[in-house]
Amino acid sequence: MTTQPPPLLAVHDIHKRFAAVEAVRGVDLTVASGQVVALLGDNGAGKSTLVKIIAGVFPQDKGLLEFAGQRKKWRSPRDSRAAGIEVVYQDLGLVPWLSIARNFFLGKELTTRWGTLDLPRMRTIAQKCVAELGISLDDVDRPVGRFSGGQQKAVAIARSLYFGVRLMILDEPTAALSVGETRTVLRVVSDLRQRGIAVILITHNMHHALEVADRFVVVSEGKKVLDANRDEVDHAILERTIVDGVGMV
Amino acid sequence: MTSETPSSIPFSRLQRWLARFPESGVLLVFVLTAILLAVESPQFRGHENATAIMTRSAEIGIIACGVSLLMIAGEFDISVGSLVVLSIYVFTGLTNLNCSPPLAMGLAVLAGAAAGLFNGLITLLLNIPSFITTLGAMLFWRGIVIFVLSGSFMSYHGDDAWLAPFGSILFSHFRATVLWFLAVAIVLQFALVRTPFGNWVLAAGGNAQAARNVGVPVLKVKLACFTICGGLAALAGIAYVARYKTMQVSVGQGFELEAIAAAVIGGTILTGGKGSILGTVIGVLFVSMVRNGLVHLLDSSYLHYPVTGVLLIIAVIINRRISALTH
Repeated sequence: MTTQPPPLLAVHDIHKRFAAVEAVRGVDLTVASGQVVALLGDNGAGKSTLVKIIAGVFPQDKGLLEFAGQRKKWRSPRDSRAAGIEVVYQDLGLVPWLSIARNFFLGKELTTRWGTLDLPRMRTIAQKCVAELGISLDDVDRPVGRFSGGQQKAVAIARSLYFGVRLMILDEPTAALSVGETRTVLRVVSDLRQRGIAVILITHNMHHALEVADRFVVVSEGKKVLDANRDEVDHAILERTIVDGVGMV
Repeated sequence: MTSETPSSIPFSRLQRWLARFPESGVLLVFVLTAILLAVESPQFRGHENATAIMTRSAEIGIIACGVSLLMIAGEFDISVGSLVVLSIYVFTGLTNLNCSPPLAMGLAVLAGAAAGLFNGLITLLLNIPSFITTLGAMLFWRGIVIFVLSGSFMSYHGDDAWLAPFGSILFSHFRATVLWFLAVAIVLQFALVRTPFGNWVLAAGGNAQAARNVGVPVLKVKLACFTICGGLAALAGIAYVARYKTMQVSVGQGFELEAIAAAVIGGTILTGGKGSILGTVIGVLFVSMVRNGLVHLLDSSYLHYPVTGVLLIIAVIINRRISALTH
């Protein structure tokens, strides 16, 4: 089975029920700093629910959540964000008409001593942070909605890094991207690992998961059915586990 | 590190200029129309006429600035015309009861702001579209004033000296209201582009959920915009009193549509998240100038609405083209 460094995030025996549906049924999951965990499963398997519990969108009915060695009970996503958990959703959470610099600092704007926006500093930092991910942006004053999907993902990820993320949850980060852009995003995920960030990667694409993830967790009908290291799985095993819902935990 | 993603196509100088001043397109059409009107109509060229255009622009403009700010935040207020009449009623009513005019002015503006805040609370807490809430408010406030006054006039009988800050003629041309309009426009434009609050307004209108996710107090921001919009409509009401002293209860009808039209001509979009107060100012001047010019040119004010309608659509087409060109 798996040998792991001490986890940054550990959830034990998590349960969540919505009316008649038991979406998550006793899942354990750990993620260490500098580790990329691919969270796989068919539609409706319980991935989203699990991630939303980790991010504080709603509380679990039962089970423990530990972050950085402490038991936590998030009251809202604000709590989890303050602790260093960021989710980059498929729809990105960016404001399309706002410039990159303004999006980057939205809610945490840099100001001058007069209380006005320090736009030059906001531009410089935003450009530098995105460039550190290997993405060049010609003009950070342009609305973010006019940049490509990959560039927008980079902006969202760079923003989280700048504000001190420790666990990043990426929800289908390669969905609807071109081949070249997918490469870029996967490279950014590897880069996050180098920086010691813990990553949960939710994806439908097993090729992408196999390319960057260190560990693979498959959920099916609300239960964890596989938890394995990179050298223990291949495409066939993952596919069989996801489709059949039977694997090795 | 080298980039793996193709960077977007570099801007030409014209594109850079248009990206910085997206209002340029409408400004150009405005200037061309002004030249055309001046060439065709000798009366249009006169100083007095410029004064008339500016005075009317100022009154509508104060309202349009608030309406535009609220639209950028992703909400509507179509009750502003009724808030004008509410403000006039409060102001004239209180002064006629021997309340001191400056206090009455303050209370009238407060009444407008409170009515705006109330629109916001109903809209946001009960999750009702602001168009519907403020349609209700529009009928309610005007209806109440008409009911209380049994449809008669509202007149100011206080000391005229107190109306000077709005009504006096400056430099033998412009009414002081023009200065109020400029002050409101400058403050709001500055707040929109240069302060965190402005960033939050743009974000609340552009993608409220994303803004909430990063901690922007979207509810408070929108409530503030509703309140400012109501307060400014009330301020415009006081400017009306300063000019006319006696008014019918129908005053302000149609202002809401004219204010929205001006905002849209100036580049504010209906879905929120984009727009500028500077553009709205140009839009207001444009609408007022065309209204005035048509009277001189055709000796008829009846064509004002159809022409404004056509202008509105042309302006939206121009603004969209600029938007596509610069992003």
